[in-house]
Parts: sequence; structure tokens; C-alpha cells
Amino acid sequence: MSIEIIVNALFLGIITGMVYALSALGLTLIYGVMRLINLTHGQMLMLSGFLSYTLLTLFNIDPIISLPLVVIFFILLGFLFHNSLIKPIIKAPLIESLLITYAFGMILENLAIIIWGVDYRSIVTSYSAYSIKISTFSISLSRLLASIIALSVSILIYFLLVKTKFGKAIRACAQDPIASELMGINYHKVAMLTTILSTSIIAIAGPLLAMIFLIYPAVGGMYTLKAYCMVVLGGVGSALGALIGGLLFGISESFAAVLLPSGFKDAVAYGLLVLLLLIKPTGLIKGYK
Amino acid sequence: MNSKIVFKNIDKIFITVVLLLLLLLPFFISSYYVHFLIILFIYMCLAESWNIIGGFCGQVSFGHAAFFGIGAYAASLLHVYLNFPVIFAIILGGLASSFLALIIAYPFLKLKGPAFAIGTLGFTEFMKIIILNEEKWTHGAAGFENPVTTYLSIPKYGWYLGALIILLITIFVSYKISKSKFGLALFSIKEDLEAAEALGINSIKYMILAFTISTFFAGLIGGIYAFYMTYIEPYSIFSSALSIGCVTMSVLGGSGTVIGPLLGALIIQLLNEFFKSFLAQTYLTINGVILILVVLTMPEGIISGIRKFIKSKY
Repeated sequence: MSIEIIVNALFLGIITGMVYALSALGLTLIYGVMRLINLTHGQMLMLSGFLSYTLLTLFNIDPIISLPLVVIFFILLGFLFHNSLIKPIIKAPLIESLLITYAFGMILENLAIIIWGVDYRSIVTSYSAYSIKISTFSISLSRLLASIIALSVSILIYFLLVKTKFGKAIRACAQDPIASELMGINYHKVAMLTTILSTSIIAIAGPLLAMIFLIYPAVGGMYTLKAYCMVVLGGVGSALGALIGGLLFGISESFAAVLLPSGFKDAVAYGLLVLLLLIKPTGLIKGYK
Repeated sequence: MNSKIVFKNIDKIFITVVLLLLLLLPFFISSYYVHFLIILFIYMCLAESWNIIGGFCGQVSFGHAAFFGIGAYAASLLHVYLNFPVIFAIILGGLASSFLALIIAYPFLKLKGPAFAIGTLGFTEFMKIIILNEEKWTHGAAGFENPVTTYLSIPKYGWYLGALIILLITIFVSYKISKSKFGLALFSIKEDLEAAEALGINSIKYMILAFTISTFFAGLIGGIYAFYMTYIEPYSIFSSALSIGCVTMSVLGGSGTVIGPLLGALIIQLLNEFFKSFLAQTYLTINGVILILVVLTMPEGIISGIRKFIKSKY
């Protein structure tokens, strides 16, 4: 294997990993505050990708420009999702939250099949054909744009968590809901805002993922598992861990694509997940709350 | 005197009558209903076997379909390539899925909680990709065709009988477990793991045993499915929807009870059959809605809902 291939795979992995990292951040936030795994995560990513696709094909709005529109829709969706489904089960046994979020994902997936059909689609923009060439390797412009947007949004959210009062409240609730309530934090309000923050992140990550990969209704389950794999990779419930986990995941996937036969590329995600859970279920990086 | 004996053994008589009816039923109904019953038995068996690890022991597995699929593929491969008789192939299929479960059981069950659920979900996807890419023996995505074998020279009856027998054994075993000391240990692990361990229960040993038994029956019924359908393909078998389907049926009826999963499977299958007729492939939406409603309104399941209702009346 030549050095060029290695550099190319590394570069591609980082580019994809940045978008992955953003999507993992959405999953880890909900887990941190409410201790539940949102199995609708992938289906929501799929839905936001399809919304952006529809805005592009019907009204010819560029996916990057339409991001705010998708975010507004997902803030509404997050509000409804939290109040109707998440709120009643915050303190319920684990199986209930898993089943409820999975069932909601199933509904979204089948609605997507009804609306858009089962075909594979891709977002084709005016600049999709362009690519930037640096010596031997080239990278398509839309991929590069997607990863830059993902990186800037991730940094923004990271500072929101670390620097602002709202971020402090989220971290407090993640550490100890009861103690934070005693300190005068309205836990249910924070939980709701966290869900909305998470769905807004999804609204940005979904179209960006759709710019890189194909979208189809059944893609959601794979995204959920991949995002969970990244979260475990980085350390469950940690925002920084999710970002690093996403990057590592992107890199390992792109190396797998080079080294293994093409069909096995997706097996890496699941193989890695199973392996990680077996060896180090607490994650590679120590939790940063 | 005589009537007293009859009254005393009423449950045994009832069971015998029901069994006889079930055995003779296929001769009186059309082949469409026989097909419905076979599929119903398969789902009942899946829900009932999931219940051993998920309901009794409280370790929620999202990968039951993987073991169903391993049983299905192992049985068909053994039959087609090594000419094993169908019955042996099916039993070996069950053992194969049980064996694989045994390998992953120790590290997986140590995870507990959500990580176990996600781990088993990942395992299902992993198995699917392995089968999809292994084209020499299993023909990958094209699916695997079994030669059509009709048992006992009556169409479908052989598979009907096979599914029924495996279902009955599964019910019998889970009934025995629920009444045994082993079952008590499982219940205590579900209620409070630390307390159970403090009382001297080797929790991981019991969990592994429950997991192996549970997956054995999933593998067995997988073999029946493979031979009955004569065609299996990885997408529909190693699907998370099927795994969650097992969970849904159990939770709907009442997980942790013996009758619950059977009732849940019956309700879900009837509803699916009803909605399939005008919703085509998207009938799963209805499943999702049912699942949400059940978890929000009666998380303990229908059986315990009925029990509570009776208790409050009398």
C-alpha cells in the first residue's frame, strides 16, 4: 500500500468523520441528560436529508441555504417528540424508552417510504461536479463544504456546552438530575431544550450526510448504530468523546474501504461496535461531562 | 365422585381437547388459513423464546432475529450440501444458534442494560453483512433456495406439525422454567441484580443459561421457517424489525409471563393480516403506533392489565 493511498484514506476519513461527529453529538446529548438511547436518531437524520432533498428538487433551494428551514421544522418536531413521547418515559425502565424511540423511528421510516418511495437518491447540487485537486488526491467540493459546516457547528455547540449558562445546566443535569434540581435548575425544561438541541443538530447533520452518501428510507437504522458506535468509541455521555469518536470512526471506515472487499465496508461499523462493547464498554476516552 | 375427578382434571382435559383440535384443524380449513397458522406459530415461538431472556431475566435482546436466521441458514445449508435429513438439520440449526449465543453470551451479558440491547442489534447487522457477502455457499443477497420437501405427503401439514411441536415444547419449557428454582433466580436478577448476587446467585451463569435456551428455540423455529418458505434471504431474516417484533409481541401480551407473548403474537399477527390488505408494505407503521400506545398506557402488558382489572372488581 503506497503512502498516497494512506494519506488519501486518512484525509477522506477525516472529512467524513467530521460530519459523523456532528451526528454523534446529537445522540450523546440526549443520553447524557435523560439516560435514554434515542433509537429514532438515524430515522431523523434520514428525514432531514429527505427534506433537504425535496427542497432542492421542488424549489431548487441549495441544501446549505435550506439548512435553517430544516432546522425550524426539526425544532418543532423535537418539541412534539419530547412532549408526547420522551417526557412520559424519562424515569421509566430502559426497555420502554428503547421501544418507544424505536417505534417512532419505524413510523418515520414507513412514512418516508410512502412519501418518497424506496429508491436510493442523492443530493446533486450545482457544485457537486467540482472537486479540489491537491497534488495526487482530489476531494469533491460538496464533501469539503459539508465537513467544514459540520466542524463549525460542532465547535459552536461545544462552546455552547462549555461556556454558556444553558450548557452548564445541561452538564449539571447530566451529572446528577436530583442535585441540579435542588440547585434550582428546572430539569424538565432542560431536558426538553436538550431534545430540541439534539433534533436541531440532526437537522443540520442529516442534509450534510445526504451530500456525502446516498439516502433511502431504510438508511436510518444504520445511522443509529453508527452513531452509537461513535458514542461508545469516545465514551458514553461525553460531548468531546462523541466528536473524537466520530473522527476515529470516519477514519477507520475509510481505511476499511481501502483494505477490505467493498461489501464489508459497513460490517466494520458493526464489528467495531461489537468489539468495543466487548473490550471496553466504557469508551476509549474518559468521560468529559 | 366421577364428576369430581372430571372437575379436578379439567385443565388437563381442556389441554388435550385443544391439542386434538389443533392437530386436526388443517384438514378442515383452507390452505390460506393453514399458512396463517404456521406463520403465527413461528412468531409465537419467537416471542415465547425471547421471553426467556428478555421477560424472565430482564435482559432486553434486540438480536433475536440473528439467532432465528442462524438456525434457518444452518439447517438449510446442512440439508442441501451435506444431505442431512430435515429433522436432524433443524435440530442442528437450533444447536448452531445456541452455540453462537454461548460464544457471545459472556462478554455481551456482562454489558447489561442498553449496551446489551445495542450490542445484540449490532450483532444482527453484522451477521447480515457476513451472509450478504458470503456468496459461495449462501448465495448472498440473491437468497438461498431449499429444495421443496413435503412432509407426510400432505401439503403444508408436515410444517404445520413441526411448527406446532416446537411451539409446544417452547411453551412447556418456559412454563417449567417459570415454576422452577432457575426461574426464580432469573426473576430475582430482573428485579434487582445486586440484591440477587448478594444472596448468592451466580447471575452471569443463569443469564448465559437463559440466553442459550432462548436462542436454541429461535434457531429451531428458524429451521422450520427455512424449509417451509423454501426460500430465505438475509434482508428479511436478519432484520431489526423482526427482532423488535419479538419484543413488541412479548411486551404487548405481558413479558415475564408464559401466556403473554403468545397472546401478543396472536394480536399482532391478526392486526398485521388485517392492515396488510390495504396498506401493502407499510403496515409496519401500525405496528409502531401500537407499540407506542402499549408502552405509554400499559407497560406491563395486556395480561397484567386484565389481572389488575379482575383484582379491582373482586
